Amino acid sequence: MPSHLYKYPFFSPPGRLAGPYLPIKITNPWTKKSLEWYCLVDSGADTCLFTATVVKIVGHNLAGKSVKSSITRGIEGRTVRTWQHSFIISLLHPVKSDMTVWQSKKTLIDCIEHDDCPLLLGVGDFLVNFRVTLDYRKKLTILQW
Amino acid sequence: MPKTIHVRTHYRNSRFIAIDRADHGRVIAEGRTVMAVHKMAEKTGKAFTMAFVPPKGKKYVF
Repeated sequence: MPSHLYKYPFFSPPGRLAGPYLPIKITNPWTKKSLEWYCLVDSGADTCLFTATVVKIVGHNLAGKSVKSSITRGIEGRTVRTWQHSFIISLLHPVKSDMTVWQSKKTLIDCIEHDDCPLLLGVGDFLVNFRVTLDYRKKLTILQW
Repeated sequence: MPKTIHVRTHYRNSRFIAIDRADHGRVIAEGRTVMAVHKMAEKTGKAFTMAFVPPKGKKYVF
């Protein structure tokens, strides 16, 4: 039986339909710098995906010498080069946003070299930890664990 | 029941926004780059959460 249950309202960017975005605190475990971001729940993504400037703000060097890189394939069939950086992902409370309700261990997240997409919460690093309900009628994302 | 967070931008070309954590959906900074919006939001001294604003007419399939 899940012991935690939180209901997050959908987030509607300007001119767009409301969708399942969650307030996430992204922390660089080495510098302890962090940033809060509304990230899109993407059950079709194998892993989370962060963008270039977010990586820079928390103090990582995106394509630094010793950074592990890999190739990711998207829906359009083309390959995208990604670099893996370590982060701690914290899920914030839906109302009291200074309160963390769940936190990941230090984990390697794929990062891309542009900023032209929302930050994605994929299955492997994030969604696998929860029972997720996307209620489009009530415009709620319900997380249980 | 928590309400859907609707946000509006003043400028059509804004690609990123910073939202006041304490005030439901109020945009405190907006602009074309993450860095510019982050700097502007930090200057306000308020706690904020950032978000990507997809351009109008562009369809995203993830």
